[in-house]
Amino acid sequence: MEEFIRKPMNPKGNRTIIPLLAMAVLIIGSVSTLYVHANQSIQSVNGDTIIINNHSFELNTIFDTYSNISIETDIGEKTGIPLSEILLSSYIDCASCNSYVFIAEDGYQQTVEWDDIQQGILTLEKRTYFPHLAHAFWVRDIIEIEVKENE
Amino acid sequence: MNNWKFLAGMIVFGSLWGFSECIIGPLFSDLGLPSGMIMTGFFALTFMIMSRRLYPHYGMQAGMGLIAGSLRMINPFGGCHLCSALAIMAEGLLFELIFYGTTTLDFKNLNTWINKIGLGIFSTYSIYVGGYIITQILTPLTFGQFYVSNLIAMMPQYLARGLPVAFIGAVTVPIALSVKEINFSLKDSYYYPTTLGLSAFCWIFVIANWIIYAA
Repeated sequence: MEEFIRKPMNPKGNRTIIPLLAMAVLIIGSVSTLYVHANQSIQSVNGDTIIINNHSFELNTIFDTYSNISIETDIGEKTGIPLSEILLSSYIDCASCNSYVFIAEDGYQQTVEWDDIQQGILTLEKRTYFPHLAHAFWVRDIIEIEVKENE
Repeated sequence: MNNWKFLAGMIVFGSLWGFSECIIGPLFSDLGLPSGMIMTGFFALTFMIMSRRLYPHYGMQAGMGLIAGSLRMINPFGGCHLCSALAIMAEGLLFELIFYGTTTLDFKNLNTWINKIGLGIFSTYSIYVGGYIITQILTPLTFGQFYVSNLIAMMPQYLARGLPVAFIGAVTVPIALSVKEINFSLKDSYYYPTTLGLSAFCWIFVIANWIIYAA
């Protein structure tokens, strides 16, 4: 299994491209970090509210209005309010006709369908759990639930 | 080196990487540390560079990623195991591509500290961010719910997350590259039992850990 030793990318003579690539990723990473922090501080002004379908809701009011349920996830039992109940009372005409985008404080977002919503909960810590979906769909520090009409 | 030795080496390094992701990674999470960043920046890069130095052949790290990812897939602890497994597999492949493009198999072109540190920054950042982006595409795709709008909206966050990992890589990679000549030779009669025994230990430990917690 002998492989030949090939020459790496050299832009000019013996100087390698590596330091330039390193500088490029450092610049990209730094600019993105500044952008994320600037965006985060704008979005986290109202920490106790959550925007659902363009309407602002007090988190405490939501939790006073609806009763908690417990669901079993692969990391144990989780308690929260059924997302379907919250969304059904959030000025949405046809719940099953929409997709729902959960947006976190840091910009992370995931989109789920109504079938998923029916199995999901929102906890007091502003975190969603969908026991049937990968953890990538479990958004934490939610600031907004955007309702998008399916085409 | 024959193909069987290469394969055994791939299995043992892949299993060690998977073991650290399944057993050590969750410990960092429990301590409130950014386990994903530490696992990639320190463990994954160290295992991949050491294996590249011991077995200077293409394809080793992509295979290690597949083995480590498979081990992670069967371990349901410590966050999203499907996302992590896909990210690990992607990281192995990205390592191969990046190191194929920037270095020789014997690393002889990395003759200065600037090159070593530069490679640490570039490779660790690219592998971590690339792995993260790939898993954020493939995981929703697995559930038939991938939206390009989500990917675009989250892109600044993905790119920002790689920065601390790049700094870890700036230290890890030069050290892993600078460790003096690795002379690791075992007779065949010891080589196969050692590598396969160590691999079996990693798999049995992870599976036993899962069974104990599930019970």
